[in-house]
Amino acid sequence: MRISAFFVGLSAAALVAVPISASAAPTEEATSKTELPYTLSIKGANGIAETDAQIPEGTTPLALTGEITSTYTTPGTINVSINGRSAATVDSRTGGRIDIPLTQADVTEFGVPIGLTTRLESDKNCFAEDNAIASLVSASLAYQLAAPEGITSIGDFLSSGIPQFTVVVPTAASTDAQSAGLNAVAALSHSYGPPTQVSLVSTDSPGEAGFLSRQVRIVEQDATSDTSDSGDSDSPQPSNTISVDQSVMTITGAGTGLTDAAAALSNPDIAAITTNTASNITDELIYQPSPLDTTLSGLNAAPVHLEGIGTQTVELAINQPSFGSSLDSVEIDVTGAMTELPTGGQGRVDFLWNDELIDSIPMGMASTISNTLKVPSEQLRRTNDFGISLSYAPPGGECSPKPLGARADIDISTTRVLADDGDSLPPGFGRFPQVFSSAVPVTYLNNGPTTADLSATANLIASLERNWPLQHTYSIISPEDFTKSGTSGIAVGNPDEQNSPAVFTQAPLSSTTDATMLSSDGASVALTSDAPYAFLQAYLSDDDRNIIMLGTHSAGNEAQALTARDELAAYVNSNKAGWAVLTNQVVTKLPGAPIETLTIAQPAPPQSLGPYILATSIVLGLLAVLLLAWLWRRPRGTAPIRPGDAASS
Amino acid sequence: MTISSWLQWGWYSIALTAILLGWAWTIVLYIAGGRFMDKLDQQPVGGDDDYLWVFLVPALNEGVTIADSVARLRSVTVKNKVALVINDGSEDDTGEVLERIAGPDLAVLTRVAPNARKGKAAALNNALDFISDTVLTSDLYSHWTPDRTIVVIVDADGRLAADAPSYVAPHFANPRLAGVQVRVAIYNQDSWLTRMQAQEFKIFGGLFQVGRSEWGTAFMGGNGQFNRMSALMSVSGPEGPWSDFLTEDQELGLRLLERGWVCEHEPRTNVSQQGLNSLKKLYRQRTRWMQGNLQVIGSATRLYAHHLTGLRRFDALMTLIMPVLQIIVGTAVIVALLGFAIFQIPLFPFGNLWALLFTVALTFGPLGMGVIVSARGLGWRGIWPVIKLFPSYYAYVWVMWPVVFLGLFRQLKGTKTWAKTEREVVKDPGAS
Repeated sequence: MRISAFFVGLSAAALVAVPISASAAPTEEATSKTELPYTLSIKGANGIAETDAQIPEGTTPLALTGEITSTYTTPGTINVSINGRSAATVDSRTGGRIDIPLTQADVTEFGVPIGLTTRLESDKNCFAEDNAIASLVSASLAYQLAAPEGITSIGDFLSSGIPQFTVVVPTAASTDAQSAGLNAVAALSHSYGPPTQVSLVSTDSPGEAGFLSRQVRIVEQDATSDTSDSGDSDSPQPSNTISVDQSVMTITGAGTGLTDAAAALSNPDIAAITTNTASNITDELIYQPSPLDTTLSGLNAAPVHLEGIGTQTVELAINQPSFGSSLDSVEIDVTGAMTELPTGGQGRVDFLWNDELIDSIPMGMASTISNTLKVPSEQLRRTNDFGISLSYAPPGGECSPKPLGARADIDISTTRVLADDGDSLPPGFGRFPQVFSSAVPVTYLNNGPTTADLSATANLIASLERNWPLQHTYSIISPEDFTKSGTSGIAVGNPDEQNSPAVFTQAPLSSTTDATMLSSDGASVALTSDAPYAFLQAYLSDDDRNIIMLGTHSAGNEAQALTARDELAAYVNSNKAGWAVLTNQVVTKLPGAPIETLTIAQPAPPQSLGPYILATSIVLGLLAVLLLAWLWRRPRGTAPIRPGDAASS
Repeated sequence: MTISSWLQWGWYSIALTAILLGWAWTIVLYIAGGRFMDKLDQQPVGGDDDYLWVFLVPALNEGVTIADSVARLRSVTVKNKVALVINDGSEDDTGEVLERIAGPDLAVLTRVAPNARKGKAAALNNALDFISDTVLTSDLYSHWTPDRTIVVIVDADGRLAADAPSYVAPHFANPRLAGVQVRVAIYNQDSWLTRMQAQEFKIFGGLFQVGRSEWGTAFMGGNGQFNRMSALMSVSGPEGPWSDFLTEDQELGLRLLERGWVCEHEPRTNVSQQGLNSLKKLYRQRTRWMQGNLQVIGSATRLYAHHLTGLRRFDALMTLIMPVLQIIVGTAVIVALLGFAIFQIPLFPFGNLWALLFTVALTFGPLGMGVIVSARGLGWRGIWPVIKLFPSYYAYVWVMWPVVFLGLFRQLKGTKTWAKTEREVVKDPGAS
């Protein structure tokens, strides 16, 4: 299933390259290329990695090209497999280019499976290549295009491997239609993931669509007009209709019917429709975050079998967005089994969290694995790798000739993952999208959205929805309703000191605040008031809502500032990692300048005076007591006769 | 909580404690002073005939004022008196003037080098020896005992009220009384500066001195200081009762308290002295006094005495450490002003009414109480004068404020030499 493929090894996503034809106008060529969703890498003498490369249905794969880089030093080979067959071999020490011819037989329902393994000569040192890495870089899968006429159904239209989707919303669209557009972006971005690019344009002249750059057009229907196929005016009006004409899909409807249809584009049932029209599509999007008490299988982890000699490692993703909320801590009750350690052998099973060791079990006579691993808040990130590593050296300590290996299995159905709600991450980009609830409000602060506002918002949403297991629905509401909603959301525009609700003027970058920005090296950055720039910031409002704000500082040149803003939003969407490319709390862009990531210098929290007052009170009290005692103390010895006493006596 | 924050809090606490302590003690003194004044009102005037009054006038180049001083002492209405002028190596016509005005009631002790100009303390000690060895052994005065002999210090520019002894004498009925300091007035109030000096003495005497008198710990101030001779002798060191301090009178007073004597203030009579019309001269004078006050702090161990306990010891301690409190508060003011000027830290908490009222009370309260003292006894009629006086005196306090740091600087530097205050020509010898 195309969605599940993204869960395995998601943490290894490399942020290289830009998807092909991300923002270019669609071109009709005989062939095209696609990249792998992430860089395929293996580590150690027993490394194995697999992925599926997506190509559009109806196309024919032609070749897989790329280069294998390697840091191995042991003689052997690095092997590339295609759909299980050994397709290319390079020297393990030198790596090399690959050019693998492909056929239709290499395509499965999940795409073109590509694997990378290594086969090294036996080395007496069981751990000789533990840190060696081989990667398939610059991988590109070329395929023969099919004719757009071949797209005859909704299922064909929503086939896998489409490099680009453009959602088209009319310029005079209502809020419902605009919301539908945003939800179409969300659904497609969520469904396809990298390297597919999804964007939105607000125009009445959308231009040509193509086989590789398909369009989803939102058409708002008058609720009284008859859109039913039967033409019978007495039939109940469909709430929405999806129809496909080659490379263009049209979603027609009114009100929330539009949004329902748009959001449903990620539904596998929709992708299975074999007709070119469907109506009354309800939003069956099931927002099902993982419960806080779940198992590894509940998090869609692949079975964990570690076997062999030396070190074998597998990494499982335990990501906060999977739970649909921010987490404060995670506890993993690991259950499994491992082989007993033969006499003279050495072995252990290590548990790592984001490459930090959190526990280790020495192999011994017992074969059961039963450990409770506690991950504290400070080690919890948005995306986390739970690593399980088996290290084994046979009796004698030599691994040549290759002896019998050890094995450790983790039972993913009984290994519990217990998470606690909370905030392990400071306010900023890292809290998204897990702080969103299923419905995300979007608001425009300056009487928007304009067509550019909508496009920029769509870029943000596309990046937010990429790579995560949960899809959110988005609705455009007024700033006042946004305030009342009490939920985290997205704001586009510049808060007005006089008129905007406080939840927006509280933003670190706003006309009412004077935040100190810090660059990545901690230096203070002054955002000048005399130059236009755009900003994207993520902050925590005073009422504990996490808000994303995309805005500008025009400095008298609004056009430039808006251009910078649109470039900033496009940048966020252009990365395979999507939103995860953002760090800290603020990114700014000056026209013509690169993106700058900034941190807001947090003001020191107001110090509690309690300890100071207590300490002062104690000190003063002691001094007072000492003073009182001193005031009445007399020196030792006989007191001299007091003046006047002798005279009066 | 970092070390820096603890240090900041510590300094803030010290400053606030100093301010609150000073303010609270001012209130206590005001109340105590009221009680003492009530007692004074019951005290009869007179009894000066029971004592021999020896008026000491240290004179170093006082040719300008000495004749006037002696004339005024001669006009003091007391039966048994001697004016003893200590001509401490004068180079002007002080000697000639004294010769011209010689008489049986005028004794002159002429000190010549190398035993001259060794400071006021040396001169006074010499004078005390003279009284003991010469005056009280003479036929005229041999029947007077040191216990019944009152030594009065009058500066060369001083004008003691003619009836001063009649007010002071009843105090000495207490056999434990060692000294009385009368109120100091300024006779040349012809400028804002001299008028403010007069007000300063009025507040010092009317608030602090009368308050301390309730416990017998009044300050000895030099000019207008009346001491029982036996008391002076009881605290005499190798050189005499006066020691080599810039404020020798204050140090003397401390030793008297240590010995078990009590000292009081008499506000109903006065000694007038010349106010300084020059800010520079005034700065010099007050810087010297400030440095002297800081010097005396070194004698704080004398507070630990058998006959100086409880509230008396506390008040004597407060008197000693008052310069320290002034330095602390002065530094806090500087820090606050810098904080306001550089970091825009508000000087007053305008955001909180009660905090604002409290801060205003701390800022203006103690001074206000001092100014109120000047209208004591006037009832409702005193309100307007107080209101009129307050801003002017407040400005004067700030004008004089730097002497706190100048005195500290000199003390830290170890500078001990001071030229005596220059006198101005007496404009109206008849005025008082």
